[in-house]
Amino acid sequence: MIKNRLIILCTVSTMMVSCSSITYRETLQPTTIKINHQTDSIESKKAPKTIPRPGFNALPVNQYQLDNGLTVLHFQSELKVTPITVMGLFLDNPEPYKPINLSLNAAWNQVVFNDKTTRISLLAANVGVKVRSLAGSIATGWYFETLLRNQSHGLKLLSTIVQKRAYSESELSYQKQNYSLNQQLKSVNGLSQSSQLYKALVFSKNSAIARQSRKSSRDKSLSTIGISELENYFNQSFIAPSMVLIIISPTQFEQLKPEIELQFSELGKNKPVITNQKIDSNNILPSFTLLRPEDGLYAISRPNSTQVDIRISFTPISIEKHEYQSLKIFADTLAGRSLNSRMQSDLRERQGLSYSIYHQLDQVSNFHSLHFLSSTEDHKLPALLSGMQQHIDYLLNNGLSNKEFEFIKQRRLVNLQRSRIHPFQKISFMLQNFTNDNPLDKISHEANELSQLSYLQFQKFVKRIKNQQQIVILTGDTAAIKHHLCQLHNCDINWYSSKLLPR
Amino acid sequence: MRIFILIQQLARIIPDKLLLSSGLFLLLVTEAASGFDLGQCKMLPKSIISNYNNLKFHQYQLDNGLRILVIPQHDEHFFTMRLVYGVGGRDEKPGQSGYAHLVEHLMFKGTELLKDGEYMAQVQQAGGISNASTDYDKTDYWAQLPLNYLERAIWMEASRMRGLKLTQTSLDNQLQAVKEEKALRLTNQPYLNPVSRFILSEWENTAYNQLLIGSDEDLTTANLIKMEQWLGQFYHPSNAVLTLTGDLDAEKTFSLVEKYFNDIPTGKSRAQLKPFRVPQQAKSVSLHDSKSPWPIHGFAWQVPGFEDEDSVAIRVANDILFNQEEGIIYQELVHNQLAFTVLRLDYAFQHLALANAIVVPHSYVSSSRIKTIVDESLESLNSNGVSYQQLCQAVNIRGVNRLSALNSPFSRLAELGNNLLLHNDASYGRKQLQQLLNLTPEKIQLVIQRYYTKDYLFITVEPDWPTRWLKSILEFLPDGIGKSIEKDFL
Repeated sequence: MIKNRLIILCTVSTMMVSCSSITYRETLQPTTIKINHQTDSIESKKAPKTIPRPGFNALPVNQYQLDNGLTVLHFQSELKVTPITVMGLFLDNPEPYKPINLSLNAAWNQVVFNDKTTRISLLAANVGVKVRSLAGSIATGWYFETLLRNQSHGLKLLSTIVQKRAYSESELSYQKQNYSLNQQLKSVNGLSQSSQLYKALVFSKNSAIARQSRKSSRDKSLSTIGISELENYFNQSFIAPSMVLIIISPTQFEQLKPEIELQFSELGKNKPVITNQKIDSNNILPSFTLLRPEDGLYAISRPNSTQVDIRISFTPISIEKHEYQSLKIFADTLAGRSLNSRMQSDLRERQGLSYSIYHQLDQVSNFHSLHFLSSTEDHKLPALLSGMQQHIDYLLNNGLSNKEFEFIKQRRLVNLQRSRIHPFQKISFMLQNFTNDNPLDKISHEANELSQLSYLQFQKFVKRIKNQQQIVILTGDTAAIKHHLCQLHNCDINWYSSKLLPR
Repeated sequence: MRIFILIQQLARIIPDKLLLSSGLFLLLVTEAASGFDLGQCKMLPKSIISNYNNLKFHQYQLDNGLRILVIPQHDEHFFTMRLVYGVGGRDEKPGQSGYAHLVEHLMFKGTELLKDGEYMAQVQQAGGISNASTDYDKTDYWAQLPLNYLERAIWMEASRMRGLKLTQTSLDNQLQAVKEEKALRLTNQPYLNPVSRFILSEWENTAYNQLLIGSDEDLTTANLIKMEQWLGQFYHPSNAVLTLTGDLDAEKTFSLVEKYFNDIPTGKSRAQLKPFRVPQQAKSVSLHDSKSPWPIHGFAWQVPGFEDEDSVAIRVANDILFNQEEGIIYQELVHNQLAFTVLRLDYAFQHLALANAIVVPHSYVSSSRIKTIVDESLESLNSNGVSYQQLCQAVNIRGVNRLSALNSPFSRLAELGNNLLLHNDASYGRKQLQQLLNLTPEKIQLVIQRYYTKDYLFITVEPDWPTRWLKSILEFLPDGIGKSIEKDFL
């Protein structure tokens, strides 16, 4: 009975729908909309087979060098719906592990964009551009997308950013302060606090670069930077041989050259004072020292928290180049992006213990820190924490089956190719290749490495990290953590206050 | 019988590739930088609208009412698919808050043809990604996969529309996951919880007055019968739009959709909302939040949703006032060192929106001082209007964003699919782009006079007392001393 009544209603409502789309039918094909009661078509219920996947496409990149040493990387994109050019200008930091440079980069980027005289963002707005900036230890720079019709203006804008800078002492002072608070406001959640504690536990106090990034803003090196330091740094570092211009445009490379020459041939004629010799991360360690934290459980007291944040971290693992793909497979298997990773499928989908369980990989030189992160209501803390630990232990003890390994490897290969659809993703890959001296198509390079990875190599890697120290950091309400964990850990917890974390 | 509609199959005399290779293309579409002064704003020409016309899409409709858009994009060697349903938070009756979002979670559980978790397992196996989102107006499900999975993906999506095979266990664990999501995204976050609850209370008599993620009470009383009723009411072909883009053949793609969706029975249309306005009323509130580390001040104006013909102008006016860096009030407050930053929250829906700005003040600047500056700026704009340069910058940024978004498969599908679902016109974005390019300083002044009045909501979120007291003391000191103390303190 109920079904019949519903069907009658549906008929009426469908007529209403058909009325609203009358324009299409009048102008094109008049038709009637019928209700189809048939629901048991065998054809529509049968799972279709998938056909074999097409091969891996390389990303063809043109490379060119101006007389002043500026590298230009160009990828000719298809002419899309909207003709868009994406471009960026980056400094490949000559001394990536020198702590002061990170602070200088941050300060320089802040000042140049907020300066009242040049007001780069206003110039950019004139041509409809929103400039995005990057200020890291490895690279510093700016990138944006613009309409193809305005690509010459975009090049001029990039050239203006690095060549017509102007800033005052008071502006610098204000921006340093502003930057500091902004960074602090960004790190108000439990997981960013546990990240800060993790770095303090595994890197010694003098390891500024490893203990970045909000730390760097409070570093004394930033507070002592004045205009002259900034100017010197700029003149010595922002030189054409250390920079790369990346363009993704439907325009052919040859046609872009004259405009590029016009805008950038005057860039950085000064000779580099800082050596352009890169640090070989395999041989020379940047300035950080690893510590061995005490075994046990760490907790950060965060009053009134309605959840407890969990961070299970491996202390930094020294990774050889060929082992990186094994590390990624290890991390993805346990807590990759999909709901089907082992932790997500068991702890979220089956047990409802958390909304999200994921991993994070941080790198300093050839040391990688692997973290598994999640949050939960305090009463579920014991179950979630032990569940996460059990999954990690199980994979460390048993590795993957050969079949499972091949399956995950293939999936990652497809994912690699998919991850470069957006032009900003392409820019990011091209920049990484440039700064790491990798082949230009890093995706193909990475795919190659992955294809060559054998099951035995993976299993060997898992065996190697089996005894790597793990530390657990919780952030949440003190009473709640104590109440729910004391039985499990005998209250053997190293406590920290969220307001007094080591810096 | 199907309806086949092909829109904007514009004949092009010279193919793109030929233009590119001949070098003619550059001459036609790019402007030389030489002689161009970056300091002068030149408004995007109205001819730029032709870029929107380049968006070629094929529109179909099945007998059961399912609308389909196929947008071939042959350089994307993956396909992206999005199914958007006309259901969201505004469809929830009292006692049902959170249902739209909870059902979104349940859609990843089993169907008659797919075991629990199999949908995501298949997507993952293919090396693809998939997710879903819910807002007040709609709920969407999307996936991006290699082309060889096209038919499988369409089949799986059809299987989900046919109906779910829900169990008490799957409902229970998703209720738990949603509760965790609520804590993660809302209740355990600074600022958001008190602010969103206050805004909802201001929208009390509208369909947008309930918490999208649901109240604890309503989530606790959700059961299998209620979920099935919800699915039956909203998850059917005539309440959905399926969009696909990538290296696809439109006809073949449509045939696959027809094969798997055609026999799914249709359902009752969604109740239409009549246009309404929430009256503007001056109100000042102070909300205490112990999770917030620093005070913030929010300014908010009740404005019409994006269905309204003033919507484009309202948004541009908001950009001119509050955009980071270029905004008039941003400059007044941030560049004069009175505020650290000015941010905006996205509270715009089909029938209702809240134009807003969140000011993060310096410790030595009181709320009344911030309020005075905002009032004075509004008064000045009200009387004198905005300059051509200010309008030009806002229009250019918005115009380029709008056009460039069409190059992203996800934004492309969202733009066309949402417009077809909510406006019954996939090309509605073209109309909005035209409105944007037709704006004048006079129109913006009118909108400011009409909507950005002094009758705004002024919301302050206060942190715990030590910070609050310290700030109150600094507010009485001269700026120079305040700045110096703030610098040392921070």
